[in-house]
Parts: sequence; structure tokens; C-alpha cells
Amino acid sequence: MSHATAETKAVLTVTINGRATEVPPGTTILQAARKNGVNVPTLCYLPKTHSIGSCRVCSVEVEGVASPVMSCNTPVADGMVVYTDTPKIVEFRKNMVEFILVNHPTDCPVCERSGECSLQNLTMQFGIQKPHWQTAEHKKVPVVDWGLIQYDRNLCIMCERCVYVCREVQGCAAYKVDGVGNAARINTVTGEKLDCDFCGQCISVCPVGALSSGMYFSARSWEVERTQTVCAHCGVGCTLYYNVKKGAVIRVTSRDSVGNNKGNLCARGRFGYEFVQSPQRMTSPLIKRGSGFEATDWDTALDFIAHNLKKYAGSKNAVAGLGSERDTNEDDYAFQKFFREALGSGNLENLANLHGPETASAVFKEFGDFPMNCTFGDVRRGGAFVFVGADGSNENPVLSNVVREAIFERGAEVALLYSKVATFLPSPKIKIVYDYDRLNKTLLALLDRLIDGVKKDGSFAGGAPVSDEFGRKVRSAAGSDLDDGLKAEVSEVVQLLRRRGDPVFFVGLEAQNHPQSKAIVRNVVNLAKITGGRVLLLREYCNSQGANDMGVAAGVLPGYAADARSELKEENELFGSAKAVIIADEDPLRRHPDYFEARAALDKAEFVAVFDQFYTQTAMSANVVLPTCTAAEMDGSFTNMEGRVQRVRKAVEPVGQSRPVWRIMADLAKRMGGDFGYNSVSDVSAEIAAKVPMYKDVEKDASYAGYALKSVQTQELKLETPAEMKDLKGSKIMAILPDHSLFSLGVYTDYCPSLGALRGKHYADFHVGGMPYVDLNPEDAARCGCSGDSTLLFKHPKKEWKARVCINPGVRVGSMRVPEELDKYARVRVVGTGGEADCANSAGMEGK
Amino acid sequence: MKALFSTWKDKLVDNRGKPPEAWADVPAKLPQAFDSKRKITAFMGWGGIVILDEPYDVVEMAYKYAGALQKSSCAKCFPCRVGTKVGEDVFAKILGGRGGADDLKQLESLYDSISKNSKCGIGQLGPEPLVQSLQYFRGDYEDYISGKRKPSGFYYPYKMTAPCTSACPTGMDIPLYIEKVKEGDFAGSLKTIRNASPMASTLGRACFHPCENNCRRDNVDKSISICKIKRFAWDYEDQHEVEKPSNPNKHSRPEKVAVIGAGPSGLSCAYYLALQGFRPTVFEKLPTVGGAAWTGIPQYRIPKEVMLREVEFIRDMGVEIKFNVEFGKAETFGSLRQKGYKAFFLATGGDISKDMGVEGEKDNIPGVYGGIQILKDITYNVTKDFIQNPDVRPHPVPVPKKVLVVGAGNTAMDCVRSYIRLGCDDVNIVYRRTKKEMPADPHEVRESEDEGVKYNFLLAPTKLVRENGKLAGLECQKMELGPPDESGRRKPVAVKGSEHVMTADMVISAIGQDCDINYLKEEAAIQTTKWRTIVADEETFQTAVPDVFAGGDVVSGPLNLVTAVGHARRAAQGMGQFLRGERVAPADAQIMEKMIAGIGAYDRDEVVPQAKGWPRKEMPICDRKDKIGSFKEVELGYSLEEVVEESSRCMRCYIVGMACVPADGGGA
Repeated sequence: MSHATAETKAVLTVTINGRATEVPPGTTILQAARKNGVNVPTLCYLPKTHSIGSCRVCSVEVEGVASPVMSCNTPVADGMVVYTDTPKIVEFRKNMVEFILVNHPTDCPVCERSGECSLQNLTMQFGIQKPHWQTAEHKKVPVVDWGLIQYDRNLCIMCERCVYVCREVQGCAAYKVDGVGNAARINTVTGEKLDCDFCGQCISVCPVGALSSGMYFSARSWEVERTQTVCAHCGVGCTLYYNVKKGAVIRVTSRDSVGNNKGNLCARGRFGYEFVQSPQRMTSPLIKRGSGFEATDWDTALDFIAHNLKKYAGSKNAVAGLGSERDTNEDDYAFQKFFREALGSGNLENLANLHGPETASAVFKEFGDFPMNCTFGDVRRGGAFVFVGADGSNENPVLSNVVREAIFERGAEVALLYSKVATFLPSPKIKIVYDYDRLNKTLLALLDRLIDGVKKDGSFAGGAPVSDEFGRKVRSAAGSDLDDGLKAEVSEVVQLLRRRGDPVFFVGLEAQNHPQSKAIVRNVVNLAKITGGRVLLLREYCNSQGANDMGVAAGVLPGYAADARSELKEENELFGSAKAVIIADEDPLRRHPDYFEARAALDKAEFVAVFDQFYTQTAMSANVVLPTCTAAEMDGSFTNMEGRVQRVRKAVEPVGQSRPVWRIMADLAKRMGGDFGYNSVSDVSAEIAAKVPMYKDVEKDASYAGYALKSVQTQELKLETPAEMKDLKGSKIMAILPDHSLFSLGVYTDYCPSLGALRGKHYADFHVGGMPYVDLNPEDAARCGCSGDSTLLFKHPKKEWKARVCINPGVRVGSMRVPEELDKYARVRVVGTGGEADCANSAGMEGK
Repeated sequence: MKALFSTWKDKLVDNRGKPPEAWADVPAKLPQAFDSKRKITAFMGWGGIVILDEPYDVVEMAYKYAGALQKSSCAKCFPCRVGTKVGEDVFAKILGGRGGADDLKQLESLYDSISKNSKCGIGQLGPEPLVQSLQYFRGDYEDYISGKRKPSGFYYPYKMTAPCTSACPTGMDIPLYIEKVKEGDFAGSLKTIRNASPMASTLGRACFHPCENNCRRDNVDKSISICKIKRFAWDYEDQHEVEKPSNPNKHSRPEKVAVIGAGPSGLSCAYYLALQGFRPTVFEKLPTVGGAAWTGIPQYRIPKEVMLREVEFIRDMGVEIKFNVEFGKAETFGSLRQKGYKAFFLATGGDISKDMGVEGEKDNIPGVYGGIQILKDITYNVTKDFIQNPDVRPHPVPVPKKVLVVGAGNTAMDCVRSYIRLGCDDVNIVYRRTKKEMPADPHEVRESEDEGVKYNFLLAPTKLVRENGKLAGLECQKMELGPPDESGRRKPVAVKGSEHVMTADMVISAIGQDCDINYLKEEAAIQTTKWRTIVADEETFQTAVPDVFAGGDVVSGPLNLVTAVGHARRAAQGMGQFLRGERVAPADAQIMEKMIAGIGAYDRDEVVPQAKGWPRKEMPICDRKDKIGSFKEVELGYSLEEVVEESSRCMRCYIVGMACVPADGGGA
């Protein structure tokens, strides 16, 4: 971060070691030196936070100043003359390291940081044989266990990097310096056990071995091989490095200088790698014999599938494909090609599109060919951020890091719109908690206030003109039945948009999966157009975007050309009229919005083939199951939520006999009488580049390529008639909504025990087979006669389940939150201990 | 001052071995006694060593001082955190008779390294007296090493402060709150501010900031924008979802306390009383909070809706406020004592505009106003649309064609700048001295000039001129500057025969205020001064009547916000002692703070070893159209990036001062 700006001069001259150079105002001496190739040693310096200034190792001599000057936090003044390596300065720097060594034991042989330790390197660089000074007593203190993070105070040099990164990059401020003088230590702010999102940033910036992961790192730094690749969890697409020793992933690291995440990772990215080589991985193909499965070889399994598929090859759309948001673009491309070319079927879909009808299409039409007009670069330049139906910090944690850059560097502000109290750090003042069924109404009210403001205070820079007619339409659609509190909150958002400018609207999972998603997205687009802002669709999985780009979607070919072959399906219907089904790396029984519909669709199918890494519920229902690779075991690419196509690289050998999906599809195609001509994954990538216009430049840059994003095509404002929804206000019907927990979101988290250990108690219980929980607002709980210990009985025509009540004031009155997996059991009657309530789920909302 | 030995301000005075009558002067000002029973024999601090007299033990004092540095070290840089511990251990070794000559040498190189590399004043300035002790008291050290001397066991009270803190009447820990802003810990910053004053917004907006005139950064390039950083910390809490502090002791004690006056001093005192668990009730004459800060400081400097939120926080801590209660009439000492109030804090301020002493002033001529009265009505009028208060019924405020404001203090500035905003085209200051002698904040003067205020210097009013019963103007006399008077400013002398009339349809007198203390008739034992202010103890603010304390303008005479607030916190301490049945006396740390202020924590001539050229970030102000046409707040507040940048300029000039008190009576 930069320092002060001089008011007068545009360029300052500084002479470093006799060489004059020009720098812009606000440049620190350290930045100026490094820019000119002059190396100044540092220890506590972190470019992504404000300068800390604790280590005093970066001192330099400035002419006219008697004492050494810290180069990291002293801005260049015009005419400054700097020397970085005078004998006096070198001696002072050495003294500073000697001060650290007064307390720091030289236990390097038993320290896991050895070999990548900044202190070790400086001690060597300065040639320090033994500490110059010492204190009277020196007692070892026990290592503090903070769960996944452990703190060894004996090794801590009090550089404060962890404190700064937690506060300034995570907005979390979980740490503080506790105590004074030599007895000071790093502690949690509360003094209790660490209670945070466990992003592990503190570990990654610790220059010594003081902070480390509880997952004991059993290797020396020089023994590991680091493979740069893309995170397999959410749609942010963070660049990370799998650290591999003897074929096993033992750690994940990142680099500040590499990737659009700038080295930031969340708990899922940093600690959620155990799924790759989980003992629960499937290792060989399985064919159903009687009631159980039998292991078999690949040829037998592939022949078996081909034999069955041939029965349906002639009839249109008789075979349905459910593709994956977790597979690479290459996998998805080969998957859809198999259906369209080998089977002549356009009956393809991915699950994201089954949650929210026409979300994607509404946005596609609006922005031309492409689904969005916002990159992370635009986010970094943003001034006002409005999260619509997004619990961003849980769903896409590192996107929040990008937002925080704008907050900390430029004072940007955030507004959260969600159906419960959403989390974002640092906590913003504007948090609108709406009734789930009134999300679109809330947006209309916001639009109405905004249009009012435009009439009064004029248009926004770059904003679309608003006609009186449109204003009237919005007014009549908005109606007048919002309560006064909500109206006041909506006005605060309007003021925020005015105050800060450069708005960015995030459309989160709840908005995308909403029954009225089309109208919701349309209204967000209207807001963006009027304010000259941008829209970003937040994606749940690492390749949710790519799956659509590759045409694993009904009605669209790769690159979004219309697919005439596609049969018209009833909204949300799984598999259409298909008789056979292929499901690649997807678990509809867990992820489809309606479990019973998915169950019925699978039961109806005559033949089901499932390709997956794990033995899922869906796999159990299959006739044949093939083991597939995770992204860590293969090459390919993912496309993140901004449309950035990023290289996925193989870090470890495939587990068991698992294979990538693209190869399975090519092998099946051969058995069906075709040949895709794929010998390696690069053949698939090359075909994508050749056939999909928006991917044509991807191959030119092997590491990062984003397809060109188009700006908003038209300034026209439109209103969408929302899908009918029952108004729940004042009724007994409550909405059952999924809880998106940071540590349990996504399929892979189930197979990462370290993440499991971080889940809150009610999540943790549930994930090891305990009773699920339901979060209720105290008011609703009282109405149903429930307390924190009672059990609620959920009665579905086909299934009954019990849940433990947790009282949570953050939950909106009239709704309840259940684990993500459970809101699929919809349309139920809830029987409390003292009363009953009808419930509706988030997908249907019909109520009973 | 005479002393046995001194290195203060780099001037060596060594009177050892000389008879007291031959002692040379030292450039330091210290009291001879710590309190009524204990004497001081030495002082050690950032500026050197001063030894007043026997007995003293420099080696023991150095050890204690080294320990004080370690205890004061914030641990946020390596040399100070570790180095001062290493040093303390070496001193301990020497004091225990286990030292050697090598240790003395090691101490010298150690403290050199600490002082040159440390982040802030503790490490940079702290080692100075230690190194001097090694230099000038070598023999004493050698006596310890050889076992000839044993520790004396004297008492060494010490205090960590800073030049800015020392200059602040509230004793606010300024470097800490600035550092917390720099670190992005705005809640922590505000907590630090609130340890000294609950009125961060009011002070952050309208303080005259003596801290900035005692800022060491000014010796390098330009002082830190201390005052406005404070405002940011409060604004941040106001504008963000931040968990506000609560009062764990709220009403934990039964004692009711009456605070008279809801101005900055009264509210602050009530706040600190509430934090101690007492039940303070504030009795306010007016229908609004804030006292002079509400009525006297215009809306464009302190928006009143902002002040309401600030006061809401004070109420939440357990303070009750009763409006429209005039002390001495509706309630009295007697009536409140009867209702169970156990102590009083008189903070009634000074809100009567002084007369100009001109002919015609007693005739109630329409168009002639007192500054305070007109400002109050302007504020009431300006805020009446958005602050609903049925008790506020303001007099109409006429807008004249031409207004003359007599006086040149901040009240005069508030009057002229308010009339600019009310749309008056011809706004004038009449002042009997020159611009140089103006007591108003120079920033206010610059702003007023920019807004179009006309200045008439060396002019004294003599007579109000009437025509047809209406005000027609003010007769004035030209002045010349004579020799300096008791205030140090040159005294204006009238030029004979220079009387002339300045036409005007409004004249405002803004030459100062008096206090209304008629309610004291009931308690004749409470002493007052000839300026009609109350006499109270300087440290505890207790009056001659034990359960009555007083502070703010009614004690100091109408002065400024921050002094009034400073009185309040100390008074609340004294009142707490009184209410708990303890002896009412200042703590040792408070005595040390005062001692350090006396010796002078800030040295304008010091050469600070710091790289120059980091410009001060000035606070952005509103557009000119908003200044002239409305009462919108002029200063817009720092943005987050600006405030962090400005805070980063702070050098944390912490200093430690320590006294040697040979006989520790444990308090007088």
C-alpha cells in the first residue's frame, strides 16, 4: 500500500547508493530501492498490508538524519539521498536479528519451517554464530492448541504479520499483541480459543515456525514438489499449490504474486485437500450384480455401458446426461460431445440450472453472449458492493478478500441483502434481512427509491436514462406493502450507491436458486444499468461457469449457440423423457432441489451409469459406476465466475484406477462407433479453442486467460413478471432454507475430516450421522413451543425426519434454516413440541 | 532552578562537591515535594537526569528506570521489546553485586542500538539518561560492582506520557489512539479516547487541539492532524455496525449523584461516575444537551444530530438527564440532598455575554444582541426542522443588512460565520487590537476571510447610535497599540478625537462571557473568585464543601471544551473517592503527569532524527456554495485511506519520567 501523496510535485527524485531515480509521491524508500534492483533485507514487511515496522531489519541511512531510517514505512521525500549498505547500517541490521535470537531457540532441526524460514535465512546472511545478548531467565512455554492452528510462543518473534494479515486482509482481527515488554505474546482477541473462519492466512505469512497447522506437516521444505493449479472448491478459482511428498498431497500453499486471489485462500482451499486421496475414494469400476456391486476392469465396464446405450441410440433424447460443475472444461466438452455426436441427444443439463429456472438465460440475453461484465479487477476498483441473496463470506470466501481490498484501500462500502443475517467482515452497517418470498419485492422497492433519487439528484455517471413510464411500472410492481423498516433500509442502500459510486452487484446462490430468479436477476441488472454498475453471478463450484460455457446445459451448444435438438422440458424436470441416464461427477440425490423428484427420475430410468470419485447415494442407485479423477490428478482447465479460464495441473497420480471423464467419453465414443481423436487432454483443449469462439485465445496463454468480457449491450430497462409465489406473510407457513456453512459447502468438504473438525457443533454432529438441526428465530420457536433442546418432527408424505432446534436470532421470523442437504425434503408439515407449522421449501414455496 | 546535578536538555551542570550557595542554575523546573509529606530528590527521564539533593542512588534509579522502559514497551518492535529486557537484567545483576566492568560496556552498546533502531520514543529517548548515568556516575557503578554499596530501597514513581498527551487537559493517550487507527482498530482507538473523554465527536470536531502545538512531528515537517483523527474514530463507530462498549458496573452502587449542567464537563463527569457504578443524574437548565457545545458552537462545526448520538452513548452507560431544571430555583442543594443525592458536580458553565461597556447598552435597543444568546437562537432555528423537541421554542433570528460583531475570539468567529450562512451580505468584525492579537483559532479566521467576513482592526466601540428608536450604528474610536499588558499582548490605547459612526442594523457583543453562580447563595462556604468563578482543588476539583465538586468553565472561567472535559474526569475520580469513603487525593501517576508537564514534555528546539518530507493530510472541506448558503458541516471527515496515511506519520513520542522519593510514606 502506498503512503502519503505530496501535494505539489508529480515526481520525486531520490538518490539510492549514488544513483538518482524518479518515483511517484507516496513511494516508500523500500519500494523505490526494489524498483531499482537494490535489495534491502526485510522480515516483517508484507506488501499486502500496511507496513508493520516491528523488525527494524530494513533500515537504511538517509543523509541528514542521525539515526537509521526504516525504509518500509518512510515515504521518499524529494531530493532524499539514501544509502542501503553502509557498514553502520549492516551492523545495525545484524543487531536486530541478534535481538530476535535472544528469545528464539535455534531448534531448526526439529522445526517444520526449517528451509523456508526467514529468520534462518537472515541469520545465515548476516553470519551470526551465536547471540550477542541474552536475558536472565529463559523458560519454555507449552504450544497453544487453537484447533487447526497451533501457536508456539517459543518460536514467535512478535513480528505481528499474523495480526496484520488477519485484520487487514481478512477483516477478521482475531489476533492481538497481548502484554508488554519481553513477556508479550500473540493471543486471540478474546483470550479464548481461536474462533474464526480458519483461512490459515496467519500460517502462510508466519516467517518462522510459530504458527503452524495442526495437520502436522511431515516433510522438510526441500522434499516437497509444488504444483501450481486451481482450487477445486468454489467458483472464485483461487490459484494454489499442492505440496506433494512421495506422491501424497501433504499441504496447500499459495503465493501473493500468483493468481487472481493474490495468495489469499479460505479454509476450504487451504485445508480442504484431504478429499483428493481420501480412503473413501472409489478405486475401480463397479457393475451391479443383484443387489450389490462387483468390482470389474475398465474394458468390461465400458463395454457394458456401450452395450446398454446402443439400445437407445436411435431414438431422440432417449439418453439423458447430467454433467458436472466440478469437472474440467475438457471433461464437460467431451461429455456433451458424446451426447450430441455419438448419441444424437440434446438432453443435457447441469444442476445449477435446475435450481433457478432461466437464471443464466436472463443474464445471457441481457449482456449479449456472455453472462457477466465484471472481473475481480472491476471489484477492486469498486466503491459500493451490494450482495443480493448472497452469503458471500461462506459461499465464496476469497471474493470477500477482493472486496476488502477496495474497503481497506479506498473506503468502499458493503450492503448485504439476505434472508438471514449474513456475515461479512468487517461487518457492514447495511444488512437487509428480507422474507425469502419477498426478495424480488425488496429489489423493486430499492429500484423505486433509486428512481426517485435519480429524479431528484440527477442520473448516475454512465447510468441508463430512466423513463417516466418505467418509473411508473416499477412503482406499481413494488406496491406499498413493504414495512417501514425495510423501506428505510432500502433508502440506505440508495444513499450508499450515491455516496460511493462504482457499484458492483453480486448475485448469490439464494438469488440464483430462487423460484423468481429470472425477475430477480432482471432487477439487479436494472439497478446496475441505472447506476452504471456491474453485475457478477457468484458461482458455487469451481467450474459452474465452464459447464455452461461447454454446453452441458439444455438448449445451448458450447459457446451458447442454440441447440435445436434439445427437447423442451418442463421446468426443473430431471432427465426429460430419457430411458437411460449418464451422470458424471454429480450427486442429484444430494444436490437436486427436490430429493423425491430426483429419486423418482432415477427410479424411472432403465439404465443408469454414474461416474464419480466417491460412492454417493446416486452411485448406489446406478447399474454401473466408474471411478473418476479429481482435479488434482489431471490436466485441464476451469472457468471461474469472472470467465477466467485457468489451467488445472496434475499434482498426483490418479487414485486407484480412476480416469478423467474426457477419456471415459472418448473411450465410450469408440465403442459406439465414433472416434473423437483424443490422445491427450491437450487434444480436447485444442478442439475447444477451435470450436468455441469465446475460448479461442485460451491456449495462447498457458497460465491465465480470460475470455473477452463485453460490457452492457443495451441501456434498455425491462421488468420481468415474476413467477407466482404464495405470499407467506401472516400465514402459518414457514420457509425452509438451506444453511451455507463455510466448512460444509460443496461435495468435497464431506471428505475432508480437518474441515469437519471446524464445523460448528450442530454441523459436526449432523455430518457424523447425528440428528440434523434446524435454526429457528426465538419468536418462531416460542410460537411452536420449542426451546433450544427440543426436537421438531418434519412430516413429508414420503418421509419423516426429526431435527434438533437451535435458537438463532439471526434467522428471519417466518423461516427456518436446515443443513443444505435437507431442504430437499420439501413441502412438509412441522410438528413442534407444543404446536405445528406448515412449511415450504425454498424451491417450491407452495406450502402444504 | 538550583540542583546538585543536571544533564537536562543536554546541558551538563555538575555541582557535586560545591556548597549550595555556589550551585549553578539548571534548565529544568521541578517541584521540591512529591506531595504534602514526601520530598523529591531526583528526576530521570527522556531529557536527562536531574538530581536535586541528597539522598539519591543513581544506580538503583537506573535499574528501576530500565525496568520502567521494559514495562512501558508495547512489544511492537524488536530492539525495544527485547533490548530493554536485556538491559534490565544487566542492571539487576549489577545491583545484586554480581556485575563486572564488561557489563557496563555492554550496556553502552546495547542502549545505543536500542535508541537508534527503535520504533518510538520509549526505545529512542528512554536510553538517554541510562547512558548518561554510566558516563557521569561511573564511581557509583563501580561501588556496586565492588560490593561497597547496597541498594537504598527508595520509591520511584514513574509515568509514561508523550508531549501531546502531556499538553492535553484530559491527558488522553494520543499516540495509542492514533496507532490504533493506523492499525485499523477503530473500536480500540475510540476506547482509548474514551478513557480520557466520552466526547470524541465534539472534541474531534471543535477542540482547539493544544496537542498539535506540542507535536514532535512539527520539528520534522508538520504536526499530526491529531484532532481530526479522533473524529474519524468516532465517525467510524457511528457509520458502521460496531458493537458499542457497555458498562459492566452500571448502577452497581446505590449512591445518587447530582451533576449540574449537561455541557461537555457535566456529561463527561456523569459518564465517569457511571463507569464507577454510581447513579448520576444531570440537571440541565435548557431543553437540550451539550451546554455551550450545543448553543454556542454552530451547526456547521458540530451537527447537532451527531451530538445527540454521541450523548446517547453517555446515557446508555447509565446517565440520566433531566431537562428544564434550573439549579438554585427548581432544585437546590437542600432539595437534592433530601432526595438522597450524595454528591454534587457543578458544571454550570458561563453563558452570559459580557457587556461591551458602551453608552446605550442598557437601553434594550432592538438589534443589539449578546453573542451567546444569538448563537443559541440560530442553532435552535437551524435544527428545529429535523430535531423534534417540543420544549425548544426559538426566538426569530433577524437577518440584518449589515452586522457588526464586536470581539475576535471564537464566539465572534461563530457569529460572523453564522451570519454569512444566514445570507447577510455585510458581515463585520470590530476589534480593538490587530489580527496578530486575535484569540480566535487561526483556522477559523482564515475560513471566515474566505467566506467574505470583513475585518475592522484597532477600533473600539464607544456608543450605540439610535435613529427613530431603531439601531442605526455603532460609534467607534480608533486605537493604537501601546506597551504589552499583563496578558503579554500590546495594550490598545485610544486615539483622541477619532470617534466616528459605523452604520449597522445589528450589533453583536462577543467579547467574552460571565458565569451565573447565584445558586451558590445557599452554600456560602464555597469560595468564589473576583471573576465570579468557583474555587476548587486543582487535582480533585473538590470545593470547600466536601460533597460539592466543580469543574469546567465555572471554575476556569469561560475557556474551552477540552479543559472543561479534562476537569470532569479528574473530578469524577475525586468524587468516587469521596463517595467510597476514601481520602480525596490525586494518584501518584497524576502527580507525575503534572510534574512532567511542569518540566516540559515538548521541546520545540529538539532536532528529531527522522526523515523529513511526509506532508500532513489536511481534512477535505465542503464546497464553497455549501459554506455560504447553508449550515452543512464544513469539514467532511477523512476517508479511511486518508486517515490511515495521516496516522502513519505519528512517531509515537512516548517518554517515561521517574522521580526519586526517598521516603515512601505510601501517600501523604
